[in-house]
Amino acid sequence: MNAERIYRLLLRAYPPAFRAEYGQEMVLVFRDQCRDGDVRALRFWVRVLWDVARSAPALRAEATRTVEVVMKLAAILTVLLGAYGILGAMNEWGAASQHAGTYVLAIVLGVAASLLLLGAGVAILLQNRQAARLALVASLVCFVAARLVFPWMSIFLQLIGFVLPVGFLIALYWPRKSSTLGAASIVLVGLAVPQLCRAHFHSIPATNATGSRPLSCVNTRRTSCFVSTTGKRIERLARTNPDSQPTGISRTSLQRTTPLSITGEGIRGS
Amino acid sequence: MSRTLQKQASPESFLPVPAATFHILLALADGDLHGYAIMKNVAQRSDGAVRLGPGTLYGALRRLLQARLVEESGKRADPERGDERRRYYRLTPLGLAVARAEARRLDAIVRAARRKKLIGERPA
Repeated sequence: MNAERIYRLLLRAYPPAFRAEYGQEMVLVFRDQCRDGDVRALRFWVRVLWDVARSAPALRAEATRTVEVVMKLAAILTVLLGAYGILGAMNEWGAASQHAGTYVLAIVLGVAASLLLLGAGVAILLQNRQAARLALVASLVCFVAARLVFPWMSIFLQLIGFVLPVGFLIALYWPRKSSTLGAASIVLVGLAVPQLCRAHFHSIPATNATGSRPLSCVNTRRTSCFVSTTGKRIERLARTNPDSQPTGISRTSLQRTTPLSITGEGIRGS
Repeated sequence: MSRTLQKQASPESFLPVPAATFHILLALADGDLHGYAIMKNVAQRSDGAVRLGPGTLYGALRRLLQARLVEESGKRADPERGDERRRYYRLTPLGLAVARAEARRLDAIVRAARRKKLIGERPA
């Protein structure tokens, strides 16, 4: 193994961002040092090791401080999203007239996942990493179960439910290499959420030709934070059994828009 | 070195400057230099007493860049050291002001030490 390869290995002690910015320059400087000095001398390597041992921890500490700030912001965002999830589930519950078994189970699992997400955010803010990890794993399990029970979950909710805990878990379990990546993924979700909401709401027309609000609009607006695709439930049920009324959908909202037409967004009044 | 932008306006707010950082500022006072040239300059001026390794050098340079005391002046090859293109650094007006302020501060300390006859004609 030549000297430069050894030095490249030693460079791994530095934070990834610093290495990406200055790694090549540092290798060039090391190459110059090798040219001007005696690479075989013990003194040379003592100096090299001393430089790495002295500078790398300080730079690591600086990088960690930045990540800590990002993690705190992400934790605050998680607390807000957890609360939003609970409110959304309550809203969904209120919107439904009948509560079938799987529907109740999905709501309960969704609330549990949101509560755990909220708890994980609080735990991160209180710097209790162990509690945060447990809450995130439990939230992920609840969320996956909710998704299996209720496959019509919105993409918006799936993004929050999957990406947020996974991003945090990466950030909390691999603090040396991936914490920046994990924290960045959480912030990305945070930035994407308002865009998704806007895009989601803007795709729904406010009124139809007869002046009444389309069914998907009524249901999606009411339930988008927890289960936005209630319209898709109707679509699926309408395909399988056109005469049946799906459970959990208010009778009044069905009566508002007739006849129904199936579109990409679900069922809309024509 | 991580000060707020408001504080950056005043060179005195950066004082005292760490020894390694001040040596880098002194080296760059001569003109644009790349990393290895800065290291050589510092070692020669201090008669080998201060030897900056690549990690210490680029860590300090990064902080100086963030504080806007130093800026990159492009990438080019050093004819004496082969074809590889290297990043060159130079002092900003603020960096020069900070170097001057630190030199004045050290000068005042040295004069005080001289008055106490700790250094000079009769060193302790």
